[in-house]
Amino acid sequence: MYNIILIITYIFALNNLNMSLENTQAQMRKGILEFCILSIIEKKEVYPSEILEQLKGAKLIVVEGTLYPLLTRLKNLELLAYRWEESNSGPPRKYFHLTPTGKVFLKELKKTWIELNGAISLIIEKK
Amino acid sequence: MKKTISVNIKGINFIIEEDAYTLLESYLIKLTASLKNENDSKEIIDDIEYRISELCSLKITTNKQVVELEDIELILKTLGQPEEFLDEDDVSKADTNNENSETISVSKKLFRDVENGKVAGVCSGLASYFGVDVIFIRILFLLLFFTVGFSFPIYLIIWLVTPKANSSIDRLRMQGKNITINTVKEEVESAANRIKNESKSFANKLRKDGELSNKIYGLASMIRVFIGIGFIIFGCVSLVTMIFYGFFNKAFIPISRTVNMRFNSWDSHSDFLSLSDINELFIEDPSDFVWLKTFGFIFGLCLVLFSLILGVKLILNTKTKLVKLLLIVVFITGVVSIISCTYTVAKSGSQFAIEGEIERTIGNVNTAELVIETPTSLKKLNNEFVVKSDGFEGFLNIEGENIKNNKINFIYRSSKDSMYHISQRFSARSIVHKLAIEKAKHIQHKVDLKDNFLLIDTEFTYPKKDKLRGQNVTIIIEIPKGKNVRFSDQIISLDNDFEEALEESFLEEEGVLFKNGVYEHWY
Repeated sequence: MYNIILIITYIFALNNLNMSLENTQAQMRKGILEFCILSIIEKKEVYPSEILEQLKGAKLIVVEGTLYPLLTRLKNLELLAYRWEESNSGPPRKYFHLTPTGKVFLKELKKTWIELNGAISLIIEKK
Repeated sequence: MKKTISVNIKGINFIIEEDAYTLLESYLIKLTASLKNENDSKEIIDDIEYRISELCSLKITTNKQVVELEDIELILKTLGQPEEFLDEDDVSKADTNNENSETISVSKKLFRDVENGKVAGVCSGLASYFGVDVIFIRILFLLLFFTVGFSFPIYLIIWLVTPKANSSIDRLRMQGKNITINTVKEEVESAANRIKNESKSFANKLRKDGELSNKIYGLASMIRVFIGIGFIIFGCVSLVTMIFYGFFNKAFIPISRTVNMRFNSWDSHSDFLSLSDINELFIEDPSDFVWLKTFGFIFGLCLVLFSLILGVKLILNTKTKLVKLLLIVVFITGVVSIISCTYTVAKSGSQFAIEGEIERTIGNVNTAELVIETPTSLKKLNNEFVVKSDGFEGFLNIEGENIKNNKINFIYRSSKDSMYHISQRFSARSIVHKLAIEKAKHIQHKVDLKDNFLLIDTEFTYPKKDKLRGQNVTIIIEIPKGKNVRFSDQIISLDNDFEEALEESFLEEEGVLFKNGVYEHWY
């Protein structure tokens, strides 16, 4: 358990967030979600609805509203940037892509995730 | 059947059911209230609105043009309620369960309250801002308009510079209420009621057609209010006029009355006749006179009522059936009464149908020149001034039981011999010839022939009971060839015409003598 807390602390230290034990769960989900969002955006420039499709497909989110505060936050942290594009079928879309900082950030996150994944499976298997 | 409204979500227009709109609005308000950081919240709400717009477009097909309540319910379910996806970082620190404490403090802002407004919501917006009853602001504006008139431009300026309270949040800011879940809820509920009850404000009805046309229609409704005020003023003035001149039979038509003054000299002084006095002088049948008076009164009453009701209707913009019905009834009554009036007058018009003429010879004169004199032209003062005006002014001159009239017509003809032949002709009109002759006989006009002087009175009289029936006096003078008539400074001769007259054998010239002794010859 100590390890997990340490690792999670590491993730959110990167995110310039104050860690509090009370919202660990929420932060964890949020952290993972942010990781996933960044990963989706890394592959291809996408607009929110596409992200939602993938996240919902993966059953990572229940309600769509969750995405928007996260996107705004990531954008404010300058990990994401977007450009507007007209759409034939609806309102204009915001196409998101990673900033150079975002790319470095994601790389770090991936590394952490692999480490974390190994650690978790190790711990869970042990128990 | 459901009422729909057109709504623009992030640049896309949707036809949306009214209840669906209300639901959507309350969702967005709840979201706004739930997000603490204003800068972030705007962007998040924008993004969510884009998503809503996108989801709505997905609901629209060629067969289904309207966004229904179920669609919005589904969309909101997909998006999730704010408390489902916002955590402590995004939500304000206050406890969501305690609704009253979740407050966004706002500074009061001036908005136009188009939903409660009469024209463009300027007055009600100001009332909200200052926290007074709107009626005081309206009265103030109207008073300013009618006293100094600058409230109109002020109104226009406030109208142009003040934003309209569009959302419920705006309405709360307008009222200076804190934005809490409670107040927002209240506001949304009252908004739903307002939409249902259909707003009274004319401008608001057209607000969905965009701001520009909104302002144009608002202007139209302002013009409507001013026209309404005009109608009310007209109605009030008509009422006063009717009471004074119709009901109290106040005399206002200027006439002059000749009375016997001291030293047995007659002089005239000004007087006034009322409408019914004048009618009495025209209308033959007393019962017709009563009818005319009655119908005239009804018509006046209808005119007053109609303009007052229409004015009030225009100002309040009421669509009540009762008011409409009342207007129609008053209008028809007015039309019927004016037609009856016209009929009565037309009936009296038949009294002018037949003209009766009588003629008598004044005398024959054999002289070198005939001189016509009028009494006034003889009235010389002790210096060189001559009295030109006889002081008879006004519409009529009444002398006791007689009516005095003026304008004596003159006809000049060529004489068949070497003498002047002078005759006097009276004419009057009536429904039958016999009566017309009778009335003509009643005319009195003084003409004196002394040597070569013809003294002609400028006036003639006839009894009041004969009524005004086109009574006329004509003096016919036959002038021998080569001779002429002198009328003060004018020489009247037919000599120039004689050569032509040989062929035509008929020759006539005319003139008229006015009451002040001025003679005008028509060449």
